[in-house]
Amino acid sequence: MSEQPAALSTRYSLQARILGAVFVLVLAMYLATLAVLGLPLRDRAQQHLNIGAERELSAMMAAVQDHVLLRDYPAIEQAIRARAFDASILSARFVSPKIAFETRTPPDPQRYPAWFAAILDVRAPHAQSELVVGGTSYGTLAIALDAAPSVQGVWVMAVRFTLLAIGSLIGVMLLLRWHLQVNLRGLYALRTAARTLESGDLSARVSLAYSSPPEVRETKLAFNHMADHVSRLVAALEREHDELLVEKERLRVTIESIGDAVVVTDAAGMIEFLNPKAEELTGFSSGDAQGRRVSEVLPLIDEQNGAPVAGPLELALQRNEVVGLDSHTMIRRQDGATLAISDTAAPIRSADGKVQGGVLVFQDESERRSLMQRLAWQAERDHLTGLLNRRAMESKLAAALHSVQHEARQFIFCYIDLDRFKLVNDTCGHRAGDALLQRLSAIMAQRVEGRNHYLARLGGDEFGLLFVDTALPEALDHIQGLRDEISRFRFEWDDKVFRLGVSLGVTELHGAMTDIGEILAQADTACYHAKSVGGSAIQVYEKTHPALQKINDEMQWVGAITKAFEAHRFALYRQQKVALSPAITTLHYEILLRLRGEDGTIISPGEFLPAAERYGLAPSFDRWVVRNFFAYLDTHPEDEANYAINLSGRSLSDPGTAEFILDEIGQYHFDPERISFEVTETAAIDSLDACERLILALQSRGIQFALDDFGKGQSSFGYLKRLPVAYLKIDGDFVRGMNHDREKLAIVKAMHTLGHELGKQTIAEQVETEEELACLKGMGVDFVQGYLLHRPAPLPVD
Amino acid sequence: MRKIWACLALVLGTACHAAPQTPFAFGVLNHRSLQATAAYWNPILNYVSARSGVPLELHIGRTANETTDRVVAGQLDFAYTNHLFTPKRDRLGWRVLARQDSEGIRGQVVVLDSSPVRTLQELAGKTVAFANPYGFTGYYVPMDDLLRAGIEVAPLFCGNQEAAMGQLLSGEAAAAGVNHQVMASFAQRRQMKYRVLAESEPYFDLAVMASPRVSPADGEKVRQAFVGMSREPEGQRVLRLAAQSLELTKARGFVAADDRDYRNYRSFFSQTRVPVNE
Repeated sequence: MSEQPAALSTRYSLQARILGAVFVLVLAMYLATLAVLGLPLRDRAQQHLNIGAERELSAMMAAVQDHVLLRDYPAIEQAIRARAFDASILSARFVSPKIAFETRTPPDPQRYPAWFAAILDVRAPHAQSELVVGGTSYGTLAIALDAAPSVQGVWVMAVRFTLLAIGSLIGVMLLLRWHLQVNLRGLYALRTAARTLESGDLSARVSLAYSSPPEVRETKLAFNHMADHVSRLVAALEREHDELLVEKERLRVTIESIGDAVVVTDAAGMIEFLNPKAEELTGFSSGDAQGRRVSEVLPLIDEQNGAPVAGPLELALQRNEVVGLDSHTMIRRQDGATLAISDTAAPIRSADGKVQGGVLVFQDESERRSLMQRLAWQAERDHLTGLLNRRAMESKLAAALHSVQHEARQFIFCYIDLDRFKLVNDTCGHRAGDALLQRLSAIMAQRVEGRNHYLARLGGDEFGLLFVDTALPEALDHIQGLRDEISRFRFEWDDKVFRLGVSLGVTELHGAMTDIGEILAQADTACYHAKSVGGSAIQVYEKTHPALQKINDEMQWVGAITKAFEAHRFALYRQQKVALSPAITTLHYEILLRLRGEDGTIISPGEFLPAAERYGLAPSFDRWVVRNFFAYLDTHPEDEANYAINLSGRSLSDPGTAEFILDEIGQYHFDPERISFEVTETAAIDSLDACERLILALQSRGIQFALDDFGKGQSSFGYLKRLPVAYLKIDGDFVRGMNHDREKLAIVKAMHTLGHELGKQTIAEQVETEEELACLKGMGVDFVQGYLLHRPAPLPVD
Repeated sequence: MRKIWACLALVLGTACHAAPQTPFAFGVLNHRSLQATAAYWNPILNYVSARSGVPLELHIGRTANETTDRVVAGQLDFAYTNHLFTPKRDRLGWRVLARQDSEGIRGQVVVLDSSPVRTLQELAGKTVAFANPYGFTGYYVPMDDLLRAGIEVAPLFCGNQEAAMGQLLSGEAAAAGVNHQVMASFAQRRQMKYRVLAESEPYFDLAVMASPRVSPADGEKVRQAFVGMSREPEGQRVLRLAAQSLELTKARGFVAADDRDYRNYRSFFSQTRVPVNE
């Protein structure tokens, strides 16, 4: 029902509506005017007729009065007839005592419709009057007037009014139509432009050339702006559409090319698409899988127990969130084979957040999981021997310590240190050393095979063996057997035969132990003692053993050193290295570390450094020295001397040392070329590769190295080629007494000559007599250092 | 036989008495318009008819001459006129019954007060307005004065006296021959000043006269009714009403008169140098 009015309301144009409304309005006004003016007009016509009748009567009376007074009756009749004929008088009658006559004239022919006269309802007026002069009545004159002329007059007026109204209406309509056409021209142009735009011509615009009303002109402008905007939007949409197509193609190629398998489902979890990788992994083609549930195509099982696993996609669709799969999940392919996978399922949402479908991405995890297993294995294994590494052993020890502390269990830890292993390395090289370690590891592993014991390589030629749930005697039996077997072992390499010993330190874990450091320290202490007595010995840690007590004392230094650090009781000293060549004017110093005892006495490094080095504190010293000395250089720009800093063997093997030093240098502004580091020959050789990398890394910033205690090692010369040091610091043992010991003199001379031959400068240390100095000068040594020339002194700190 | 005639006479007399009596035609020499004449005379005639029992009906001619013609033609029974004293009309046998109670009228030759004309002689050859060629004081008397003075003028007849006075006022005529009463009344009404060049002896105004066919009894009744008007309140009221219709300041009654009172008329007409139109 409501559509019909709506259709009617849209059927007629705006022009037709306005014209229609104006037509109805004007017509209504015409009718109203006709009603308002017509009724009084009718009354006026009637009144006019009545007055006319009176006037005619008066006129006729005037015309006949003289005749009446003269009693000229023919003249009276003639005058009445003449008057009645001339005027619109239907009848005129004169009655006197002597005469009575009446004259009638035919009414005017009606030129108006009868209905109009009926509507107008105008009555023919009558009038009569008695002629009395001087009290004497001469007679009565009566007339009836013809209403037709008045009706005709009103009819003519009505016709003229109607014609005028119609003319006005037509004029108004034509004028309005013209006006509308002119003013709606802009609107029609808008319609044309809108249709053109609708048909796809986005360049369609409305011309603003001809004048329009402000509203239409503003609408045109708004339309043109809208069209511009739409054009830009469409252009942007087309551009984005093209980009989307490219993107879609790229995504399609990507999805088909990527190594990940992709499954796309609808919101109900029914598969819509599999990419090639998914087809490969599931064994289903995309077409076959389409419309199936994910669980049919991708049946998931637990890797460990083979139980079915709930699919993540169903969960993702239910929860409307991304869901990852348990890492121990596999799929059972169509051919029955299983495949480890990892996958992620995510819902595909529309802009309003409604779930439109889901996507499941999964990868073949077989290789990665295998690799992870290998990495996990390698993480706790020593790569050379395949045994547990130090970290794994520490983990086992921690677990064992925890067990001891909470359960009545017994654990024995044995520290194994090969004797004379370095001889193999030095004489046959690292390959031989590595081969030796592998053989010995195999022997040791074989002895613990099948037992609940853990064997680990702790580093270098050191091993650890943890006996689980084993009493000390039983463990010692095993250890002795191990020692004996190693003692019997013969290692052959390049026609060389080596017999090795082994030192073993044993300790039993007990609940009073605080950490694994204590376990390691006790075993190490025992092993140290075993080695110190000649090797191939087994020493069980006893707290009251004198020798172990001494070693234990060293360990006390660890605590003392820690306290000293906290109390800032370490101090930097320096000792000058005097250049013997007058060409060298720059002062050279070696930075030395001193510990200030709690009583203020200065303690030389000979007392605390061995313990520090043995218990791994040396790198901390090194870093403390570097940090504080660099700060000194930065705050004392007036000090332009060159300085050498000692680096321990541990720092050399620490891969973070180079980065630490460079970072520290980066914080200050002094010239790094004023800095050199001294490393002992033995430390350098023990960590030859790391030392070489460190020297090369720091040389890039102009920092030089000196090989300290040169000559003390057993194969110094052989390593000189690999160590790009700038200085050789001849060990003081050779310098002291060289003036009267020809052998020392010859060695010093040989080392100095060798150094110079290799382009390195030489430094003789511990020069304490003038004779020694004279020898060195005579030899041409570059720098000399010793109490004779300069005693260590604190850095001139403010 | 006498009884039969007596009965017949009674019957006829009763029949005649029962039938409405035909009124006598009373003609009035109209010096004024028909309306004014009718307005003046109808109340008087109604009164006289009622008082005398002699029904009178006013008859007016378009002009005074036409009224006189009607008299001559025997169409009237009574007349208020002074045209019947010419020798020829005198022989018609009309008798005087009464006249208006006035001192008499005079004929005058008048000019406007502003006119340079001072004497009748100065009017020689000029236009002089008159009422009509039948008026006594309005034509015969002043014209007779002019002719006796030996002055030839161009007469201009204007229909009645006031019309002639109008011509004088407008300058169309150098002088006018008028009734002195009418002239005085006109001048008073129009604020007009005029100068009298010649004036006649007085003549009684128009007389109420009866045709010879009017019986002496009816004549006497009519005379008594006219004469008695000024003595009765109703008659006085009618006279005032009639005078008011003419805007006259004084209502004049009627007095009894006879032919002797109008001898000077007859004498004038027997001696006048003016050709009499009869």
